[in-house]
Amino acid sequence: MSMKVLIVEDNLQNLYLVEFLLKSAGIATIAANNGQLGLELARKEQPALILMDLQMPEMDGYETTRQLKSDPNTCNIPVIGVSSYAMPSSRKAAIDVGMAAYIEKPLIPETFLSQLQPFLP
Amino acid sequence: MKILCVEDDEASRYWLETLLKSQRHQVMCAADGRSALQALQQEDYDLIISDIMMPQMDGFDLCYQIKTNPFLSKIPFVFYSAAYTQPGDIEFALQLGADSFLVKPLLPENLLAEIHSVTSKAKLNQTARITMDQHEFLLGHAQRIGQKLEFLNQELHKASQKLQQTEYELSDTKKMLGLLVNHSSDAVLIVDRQGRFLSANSNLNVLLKRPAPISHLAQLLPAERYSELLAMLAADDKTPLDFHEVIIAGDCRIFITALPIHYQDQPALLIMLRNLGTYQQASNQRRLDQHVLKNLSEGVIITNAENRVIAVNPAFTRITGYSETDVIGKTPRILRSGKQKHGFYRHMWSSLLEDGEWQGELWNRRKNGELFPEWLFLSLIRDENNKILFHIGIFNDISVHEEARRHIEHLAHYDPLTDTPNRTLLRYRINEAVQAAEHSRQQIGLLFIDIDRLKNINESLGYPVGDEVIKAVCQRLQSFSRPGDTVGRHSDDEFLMLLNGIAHRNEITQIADSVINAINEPYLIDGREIYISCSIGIALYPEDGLTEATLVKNAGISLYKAKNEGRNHYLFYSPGMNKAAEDRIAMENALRQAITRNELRLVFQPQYRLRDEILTGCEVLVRWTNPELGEVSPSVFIPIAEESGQIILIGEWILRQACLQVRQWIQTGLPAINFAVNISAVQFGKPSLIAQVREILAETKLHPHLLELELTEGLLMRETQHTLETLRTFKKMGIQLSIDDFGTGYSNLAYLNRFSVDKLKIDQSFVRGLPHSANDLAIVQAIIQMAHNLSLTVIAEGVETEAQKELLTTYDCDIGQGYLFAKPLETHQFEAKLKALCQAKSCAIQ
Repeated sequence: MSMKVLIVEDNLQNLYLVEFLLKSAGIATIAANNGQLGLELARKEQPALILMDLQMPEMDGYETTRQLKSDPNTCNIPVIGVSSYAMPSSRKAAIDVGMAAYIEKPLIPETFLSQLQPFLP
Repeated sequence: MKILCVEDDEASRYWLETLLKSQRHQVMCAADGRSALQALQQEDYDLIISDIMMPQMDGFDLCYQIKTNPFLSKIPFVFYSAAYTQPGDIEFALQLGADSFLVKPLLPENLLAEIHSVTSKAKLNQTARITMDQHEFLLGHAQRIGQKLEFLNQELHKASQKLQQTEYELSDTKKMLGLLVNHSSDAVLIVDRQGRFLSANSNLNVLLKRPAPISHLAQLLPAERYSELLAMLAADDKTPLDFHEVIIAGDCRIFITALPIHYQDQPALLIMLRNLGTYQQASNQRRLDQHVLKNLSEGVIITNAENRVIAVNPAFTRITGYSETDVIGKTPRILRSGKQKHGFYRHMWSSLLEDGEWQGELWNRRKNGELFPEWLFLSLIRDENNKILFHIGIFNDISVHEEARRHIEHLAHYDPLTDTPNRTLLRYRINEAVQAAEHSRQQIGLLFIDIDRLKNINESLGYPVGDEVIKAVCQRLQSFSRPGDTVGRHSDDEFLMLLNGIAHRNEITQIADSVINAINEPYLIDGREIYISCSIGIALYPEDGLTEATLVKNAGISLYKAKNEGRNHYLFYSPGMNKAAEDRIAMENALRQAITRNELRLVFQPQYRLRDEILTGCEVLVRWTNPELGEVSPSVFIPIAEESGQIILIGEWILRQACLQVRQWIQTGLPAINFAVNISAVQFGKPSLIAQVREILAETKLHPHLLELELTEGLLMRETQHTLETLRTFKKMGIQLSIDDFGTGYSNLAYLNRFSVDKLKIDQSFVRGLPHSANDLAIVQAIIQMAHNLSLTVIAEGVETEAQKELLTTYDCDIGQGYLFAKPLETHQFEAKLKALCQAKSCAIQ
């Protein structure tokens, strides 16, 4: 498995920020700006970890994760759900669809990376 | 870096906060301009990043408030705006003094790079400045908002057409529009082309202070301005209107601007009203103007359209001699000298009328008839119809400049403090004397005179007193100068006395004797009696040198020798002296390599708590062993290091080595002790000292509380801003401060408190007198009592006998150091003491 982290995030600003934080820590990233693209990239690139925005138009983070988990090619990749700023979301719903962890925004730079660490090889 | 982020949108605010915190910046957030201003009042920031569109006070307004506030204008200001940026926004922002204008979305790398570039410039003092006045700002701001409103309105319109698929976008735009209309304390209203209100925000009635709400533009504007505005609108709706008006509401002045827009598919007017503040503020402005006019050193004369004088300022009266009543109603022609060439005034007037201003030099006549040259600046003030309202003339009397020129010439050759020849003129005079003596075959005597320990006076009583001493000494020296002799100031505390036509050495001996006696007489300065002495080195022409340079050099060498032999006497030059001077230079050179050749080492003078004789800390001292010079005493090499400036490097070395040593002891499990390092006045004077101490502490990861800096009394007496700030910074860092050799200078209790010193060290000269000298006893007792009253810890230096220790303990002195306990110890010896301390388990260390 590669050391790449897949970021699924529809908001460009947030995508840039997460990419930046990971790159600064020496972690390579690939990105998808919707759930469908996220599924395709996950199958093709086999990332070590997926950071999943929960609120996205069309296919949201819960649905994308459900599909990832039902596909034998992607079901073993850990998925971390990332909440939005304003929209309500719940840890329980995230865990129920098979997410390995759940991070609430705003991201805190000091702890963000350590939250990912357990899922990286 | 400490950054203030001003952003009303929560997601954007978090975004910025996360990014900046990831770069270890300190980040504070404010949701609008007004809260940002409050935050800025409470704390200092290194950078402001602000959104533009925000409730309460928008980013433009915030930037204007900051850039016009002298306390805040230096803080770099960066706009980071959302997607609704309009053409002209950037230009307006930069004129407002913004350092940068960034548009979302932006790559984090780019934002950080821009922040870096802006703050680097700010460090070089290149923060942007505002280039518009209040009026331009108000107009520009209204235009920006109007444009934005229209843009949003169009967006709203477009969005409503695509309502089904873009509900999301619409609500966002609607929110923005609402924000704008309810924007800040301004009132915003939209009227149709007949002046009827289509929309108004809630601020309007508050602003106008009217009991009943109004609904028509005619109720707001004076009748003629109202019809003027409607006429402008009817004429052309393409170009932006330049319409503004100030009306009065209650005791407030309201600024009104209008902009043509499209609203609900029809041409309309956006009217904005802003409170300019109360009359009180306006009259304060007038008072300020008058104050400036009154205190201006330039003469000011103001005439009306008919060029009759309506006002002059006090400087006008001072320069011309004409009082206000002399000139009011007259024309400025009464000042004419009649000396100007034919056609001068005609030319002046034509360029004034053409360019609106004129400046140049001309001769005028004072009331007493005296002619004087002036530099005159003339300008015109016109009304909006270009009719002249006032002529304003501002002028300088430049006859004083003539005097200044002579003064500068004098300054180039004379010392300003004593008004005697300076080094340049002295050399010239000596040269002249040498040439003359060559012909006449006479001798010349050159006395190099130095005031002993002037530095002490400067440091303890301040430079003004030191300057008075120099002046007084110079006067006394001049009293010995005969016709043809020269006395002058060579440098700070050094004088040269050139004695012509000397027949015999004895003549000089007599003069030198009398000079020393005269200098020894007390000086009464500021009600204080001051005693000083001087040393003199003497060189003779032709015996000791044939040129000016050799004579000065050799007189200087004998002066140096005289000082080293104990001061207050004179010495004639002898060839052997060169050797001594060379020795000193050799030592200076050897010292320069002492650090790199590893010839310096630290020793540690243990300090004990007198109550129970527990080791509490140490004073760190330095030793120098040179292969050729042997062990050189610090009392010899430290002054040389101070004079040559090498103390800076040596001091840094001592501090770093001491910290490393203490660090090493702590790492091997030995108790963390307090250690005191001496800071010389030369080191203290360097602005880099704070950074150096900070760096070394960070490097060695030592707790600052363990470090104590020992300062001399004289150093504190200077009490400059630098001293205060440096000591305050050290205290803030947690470092302890102690005063060395207390009681030997002009001890002053006030500064102990002011500088929040922690410890006081009683000079060993007082301790030595114990227990027999009643005088020393009284002094020591008084120092301890006083120090305890100020909650200071007292350390006695040079404790040598049991009896001294007993006495000091009885008097409640806290800590002692000296040969009774131990002499300064080598590293391994002190380490053994630390181990013993640890084993005794009495690690009651502060």
